[in-house]
Amino acid sequence: MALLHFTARRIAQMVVTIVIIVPLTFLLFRAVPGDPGAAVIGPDLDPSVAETLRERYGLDEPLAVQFTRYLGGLVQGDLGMSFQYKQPVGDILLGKLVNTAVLVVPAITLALVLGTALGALAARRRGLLDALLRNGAFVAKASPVFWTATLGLLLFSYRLEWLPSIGMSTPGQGAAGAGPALFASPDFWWHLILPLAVMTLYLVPEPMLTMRTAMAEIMHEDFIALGRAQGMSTARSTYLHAARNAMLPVVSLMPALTGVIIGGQVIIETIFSWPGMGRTIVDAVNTFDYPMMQGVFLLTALMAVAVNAVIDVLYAYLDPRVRLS
Amino acid sequence: MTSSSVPVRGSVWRGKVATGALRVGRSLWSTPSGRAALLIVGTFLLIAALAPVIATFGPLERVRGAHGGLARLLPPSVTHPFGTTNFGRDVFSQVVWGTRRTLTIAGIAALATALIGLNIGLIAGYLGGKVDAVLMRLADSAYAIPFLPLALVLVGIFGRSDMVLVLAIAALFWRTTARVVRSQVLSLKERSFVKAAVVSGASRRRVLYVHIAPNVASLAILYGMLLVAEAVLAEASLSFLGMAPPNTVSWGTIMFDAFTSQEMRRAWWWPLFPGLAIMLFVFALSLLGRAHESLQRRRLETSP
Repeated sequence: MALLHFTARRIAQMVVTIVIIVPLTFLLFRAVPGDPGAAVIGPDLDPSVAETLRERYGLDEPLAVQFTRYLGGLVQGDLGMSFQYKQPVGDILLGKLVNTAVLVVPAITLALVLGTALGALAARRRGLLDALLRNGAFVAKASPVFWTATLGLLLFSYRLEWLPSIGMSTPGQGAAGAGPALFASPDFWWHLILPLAVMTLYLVPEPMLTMRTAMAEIMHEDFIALGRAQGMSTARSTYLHAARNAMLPVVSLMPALTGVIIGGQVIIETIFSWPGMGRTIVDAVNTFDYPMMQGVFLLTALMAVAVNAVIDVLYAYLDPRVRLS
Repeated sequence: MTSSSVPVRGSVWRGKVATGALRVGRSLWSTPSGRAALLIVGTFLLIAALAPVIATFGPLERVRGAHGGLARLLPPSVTHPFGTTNFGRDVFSQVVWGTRRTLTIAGIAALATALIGLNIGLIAGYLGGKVDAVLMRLADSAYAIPFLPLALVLVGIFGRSDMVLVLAIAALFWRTTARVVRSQVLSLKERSFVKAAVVSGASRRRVLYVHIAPNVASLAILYGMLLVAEAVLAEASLSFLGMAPPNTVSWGTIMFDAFTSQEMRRAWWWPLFPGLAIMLFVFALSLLGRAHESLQRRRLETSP
């Protein structure tokens, strides 16, 4: 019952956030200086052409009418036409989203696994190893991701020539195009290594430090002492009982990290010419492709809101203390 | 979060804030890591202030070599400690001038953000009810919106300018300060000195800004300081993506030039040093945050 109540409240909160984000985005893009239509053709276009364009994009109608139509389109998944690609934004972004996912999902998974393992290790082995791991995490956290990515490129691609520097595949070689055929090719995996390593290094400090603190606290709890008194081994009490509980704060950390993850993804895709959502929004800004900018922004923000709600509910399911508070 | 200062009577701004900042600074200086961090941050501030004296060349100056040709892509040497760029610019001087620009933008952004957060926290905590609910839902949304996409959209709409850089940072990062200040205000407004002020007929604004605000100011200063680190990373990321105004030199724009020139593969020194500066500065600030945290914990443990 409590879980159901919590879920309902969390969904309501998500709806409130969406109700704030969507009109805000709409209004933001009405603030585009000059005529959005001018961006398609150029600043000095014929007034009569401008008029036709305004009519075509519905910009001559009252704001409320525009907003209603905009909402109607959104509900049907219509994000408008890209100025640059002359294709529906939604269609383009669907492909880009897949490309982003094949990089970001493994990176998050790796960072969580590595982070919890290293955090548990640091908490158990106080002393030199702990100090090394902890300060290493803080150095990694302070390093801007475009710097680590650049250094990675310099070392592994340019100097040692071990790994490819850009893109998802070698042009004119192996499986061309996109989709399952590409993702199954060894050439793609080869291209994935460096961006994946940089993204993982960028994400790993937070789960690691959280895990370390949580472990250190839980090791002092009564139930661990009780287990130890009953003759449980150190390893068993550490990794089976303490670690399992310490992973809860790591899970609850994830919503706070979505902004960090998305930001890192934008930069890494730009550096490695990875054809995902992040690189698309940077391109859209450089080419004044307003519908595309709006589409990427809205899609990313809404996805972040939804994923966070799911994680919160999941967390409440894992930890009864949350839903009762 | 606990504030260690509980005034017996209502107090005025100046003394409170000055002694608060001084106390935080002094206690940080007393720990080895806090002292190291303060020294690093202080050095960067000095470099920013004395940039014209320290830099050996102008930020965009194209240096000519002994034979009159441009000093292109020279590795680090005595005249060019951090090497030169493909246009013959001295990377050391660029990093020095960049320190000034990065710290100025980040400082202004952090100050604006902390002030917004402080005021929203004060108002939400003190007024409560519907105002509080609305402001806190806004804070929830600010947590939900990813920073970089929003900042890119703002640059896309309003163009590349310092104002937009500051605005992009302030638009979201007020959230943490607001929440922390609000929770402080919630407990402060139940204290007798605030109630005494209300009973004696002080206006709502006076109670908020004369009686309550000075007591959360040191907290806002601390969060403002931590915000500088976030702002540096934010400004650098945006500049690296080419979103800084043209012909400006900051740590991020040096890296942007290095990356877009395609000459990086021949000139490792070009991206190395500006990135190192960012890392060192942000690391020092995080060290300060950690030192403060452990001091707080110790204070909690030793106080009965």
